[in-house]
Amino acid sequence: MTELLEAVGSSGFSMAWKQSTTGFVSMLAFHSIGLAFVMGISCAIAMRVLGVARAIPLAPLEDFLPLMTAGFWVSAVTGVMLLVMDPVRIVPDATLYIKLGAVAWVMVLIRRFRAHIFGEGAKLDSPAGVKRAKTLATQVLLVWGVALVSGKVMAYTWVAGYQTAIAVIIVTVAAGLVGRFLLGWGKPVNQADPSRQAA
Amino acid sequence: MDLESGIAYWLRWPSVEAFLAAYTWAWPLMEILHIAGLVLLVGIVGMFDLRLMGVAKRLPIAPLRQLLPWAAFGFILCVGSGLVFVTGLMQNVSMHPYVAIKVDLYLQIKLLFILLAGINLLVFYQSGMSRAVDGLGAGDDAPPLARAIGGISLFLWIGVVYWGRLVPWGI
Repeated sequence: MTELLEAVGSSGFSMAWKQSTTGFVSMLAFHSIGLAFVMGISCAIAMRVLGVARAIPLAPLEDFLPLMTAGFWVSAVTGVMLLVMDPVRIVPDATLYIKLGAVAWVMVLIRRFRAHIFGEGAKLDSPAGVKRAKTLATQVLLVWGVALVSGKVMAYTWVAGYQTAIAVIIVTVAAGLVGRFLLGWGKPVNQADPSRQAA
Repeated sequence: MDLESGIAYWLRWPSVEAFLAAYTWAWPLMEILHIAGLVLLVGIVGMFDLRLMGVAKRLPIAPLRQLLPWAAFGFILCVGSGLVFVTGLMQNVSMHPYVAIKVDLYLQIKLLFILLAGINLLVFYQSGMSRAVDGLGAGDDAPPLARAIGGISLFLWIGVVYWGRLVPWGI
């Protein structure tokens, strides 16, 4: 296995990118740009479903989905190229599989979310449908969080990685508590105001 | 103390360096907050800019503004974590932050792009375009100047991400 990874890492394609003065860093940069679009747009739509900016009509947000998909493919292609450039270090790292698993999971969630929110006969006209949409939106945000943290800590040791994951959980819970009790997140809205209807 | 040594003094914070030295999770946590902030900022501002440029025209613009405070929150996350990177830099790469700012071309370009994005935002408000687009409903086109401002903003923020990712290689 190691020999195969070394062969990939020293292949002409891999070496050409590694030896290029801008190849590796440009791949990293485009990976981040793709991530900003796929994660940013999906998180913004999920936040809307969870009750942020309730005046935004949901249906037109569907028009941003092709850009989200483009962001995903930019990230995916550059991610594979980054892996090919340094397979000996990256492939044996268990954190990679947490990241890939989280990305695959979030893509499945987004497909379900998309069908539920924007699909034929979107099921948001009943409390159960709204609850399901909010559950999917919450899952999208949480699993993106797992993908982000696992992707970032790949550059660090296991100890630093799990300590960072715990720190992120503490920060997230603290932010949630501040939002819930100081900013009023998640409190019921005045249903009489049509601009403030739930999803 | 002259201006240069004053700036150099204020850019290096031993307390931040000590914090980063004491806790191995601190630097990666700041990186994660930086990316989370960037995702919020670029995702939401990008959607707003794209609407100005004519994408998702079914969306009225005024309600979309309700998401912008989250983009501002993302910017605050980026600035806060970025300040930790700068003031605690000596702990990570053994280089004085003032020297890093002076020699790192990528960081300089990133900061320039942020400045230009700020000026672009100022133009958006001062030119009256901000009020003009507020009245745009579903299917309406933004005025040419607003479309140009949206395009410039999108270009600049994508540039900030691009040059920002290159910063560690500029030292």
